[in-house]
Amino acid sequence: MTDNPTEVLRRLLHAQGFGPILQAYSPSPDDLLSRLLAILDKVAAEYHARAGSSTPFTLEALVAESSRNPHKVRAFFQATRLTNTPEMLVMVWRILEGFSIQEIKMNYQKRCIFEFVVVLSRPESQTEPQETYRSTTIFDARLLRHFGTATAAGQPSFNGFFPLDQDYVTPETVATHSP
Amino acid sequence: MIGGTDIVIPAKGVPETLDACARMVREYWPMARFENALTGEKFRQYADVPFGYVRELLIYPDPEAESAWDQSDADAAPNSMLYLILSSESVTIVLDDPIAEPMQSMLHSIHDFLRAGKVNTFAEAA
Repeated sequence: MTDNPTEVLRRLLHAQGFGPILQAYSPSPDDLLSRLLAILDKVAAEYHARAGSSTPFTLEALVAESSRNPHKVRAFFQATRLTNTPEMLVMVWRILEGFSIQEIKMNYQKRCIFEFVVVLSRPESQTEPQETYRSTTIFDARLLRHFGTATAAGQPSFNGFFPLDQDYVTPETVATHSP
Repeated sequence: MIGGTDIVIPAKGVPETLDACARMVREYWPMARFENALTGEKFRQYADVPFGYVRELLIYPDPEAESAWDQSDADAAPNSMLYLILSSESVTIVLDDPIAEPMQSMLHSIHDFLRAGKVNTFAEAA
């Protein structure tokens, strides 16, 4: 018998430490789970359109990855609390898969323009084209909090996408901001 | 051979610590290969490494270095492997020569990365 997707996602979120957030969600935890399932569908479609490979956003795949790399799945679900833009969430997952952050551009003019562009590449491949991800939703800039900041050979390097301590995760709700 | 120097960096003993180290090493060794030091399980690329399970990780700069180590330690060039050991309060990096480049820069990068602050969960231990 196949598990109910809502219950699988509920267990996954509890295992990742999102239980209190889930319980506190208004109007109900089930509402949050439904929204997340809908977002996962959209992210899966975006991922397939870009990568052309099987999606890692099935619940079965996320549960398996949660065992192999719990911090990556936690970081991803934390990102869903900051954005529901499928393109941005695919960008997040590509970084978690190991893509390198080649370039970040942000163009902002008060009450006029916001554009956030992230260019990724696969470090071990000289031939694969770079991937470019764009958003015009200002809330998506909050994703930068999760980017690892470093230097490599003395030069600046954003590297990786990491979960925040739960204390740092603000009580924003998923899917609050429309793209 | 390997084992000249142990570099101990305070850090939380969580999967993201080892992950962060691996990512930083890839900045210098983009063709890096990985191996679970406790089981011998090989990982052709970063994406294959299950950081939730792995506590000790060998990283080779490229497939050739990995092959040399697989055949015989004596054939392996100095600094052609890193050995990362995650414990509850630190990560230990074992390597031949921490002064030679790019190892010195790599160690600085890893150290700074692990102390980068609230973005990662390592700061309190630093």
